[in-house]
Amino acid sequence: MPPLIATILSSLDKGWATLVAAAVAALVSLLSLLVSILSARAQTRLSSRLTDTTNVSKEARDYKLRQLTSFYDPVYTLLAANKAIFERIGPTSAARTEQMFNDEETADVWQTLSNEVVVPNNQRVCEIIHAQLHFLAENDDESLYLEFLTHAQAYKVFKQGTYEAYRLFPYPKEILAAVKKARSDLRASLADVYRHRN
Amino acid sequence: MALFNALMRYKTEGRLLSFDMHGDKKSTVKLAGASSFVIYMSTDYIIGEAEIKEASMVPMATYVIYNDWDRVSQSAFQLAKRLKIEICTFGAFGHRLDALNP
Repeated sequence: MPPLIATILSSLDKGWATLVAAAVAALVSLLSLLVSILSARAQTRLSSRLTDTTNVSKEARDYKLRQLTSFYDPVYTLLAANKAIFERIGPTSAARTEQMFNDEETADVWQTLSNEVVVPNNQRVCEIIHAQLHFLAENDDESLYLEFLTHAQAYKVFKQGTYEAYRLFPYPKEILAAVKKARSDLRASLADVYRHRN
Repeated sequence: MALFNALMRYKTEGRLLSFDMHGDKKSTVKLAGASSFVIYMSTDYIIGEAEIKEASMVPMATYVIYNDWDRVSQSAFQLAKRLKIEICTFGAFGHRLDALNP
């Protein structure tokens, strides 16, 4: 081969090699840019999903806390106090049926407790039901609370003047157990959330 | 049970000679002077017309007694008055027993 042609061929190979090397470098750079863009997008999506999840669980936790503090806790304590008074000294109590103490004196205490504690507690429970019924737990029975509203109003009228039809508005006996269960479920669920955070 | 307990107490105190229960709401009370009458006490704390009607059935009660927890409706008072049944509290009935005893 003549030396001139060999030189041309040799110079041509070098140029192609440089061109190919430059093209490969550009491709790698483009690919790495693409990967970094995709990775950044995925990271943003993941981070936003995490923030959403955190916000939702915080909101759920706050809602449960509000269910407890605005509804179940006060209703439970007020109804429990009324139940204790009614069962210990009320008209169906052993204090009455077995005449454990002086009738007149004990009945007088009952009337005072009824007027000063039971009726106001009923009133307070009614106010809570009116204003906070939306905090009722999903599996709780709304009809018990509506029954209680009519019972409490009927009892208030009964205290002002005896009427037999008061028997149409009995106290919904299941209400305290329902409140106790819903309250206990909420407390357990909250405790579970805090346990997982620690 | 409340009626039985009350009558037992009166008997122990010597304010009546004996008593015979008719169920748990009615009792025939015998006094030392051989006089006797029937008394009625509801097991419910609301005393309405239904209780007075029950008291008026044989043996018809002379007295419907109630204790200080119980609530007597106005209609019950009116019906008892028509049937000539006296409604009184335990306390008042105790005084009535003392007055009837020789």
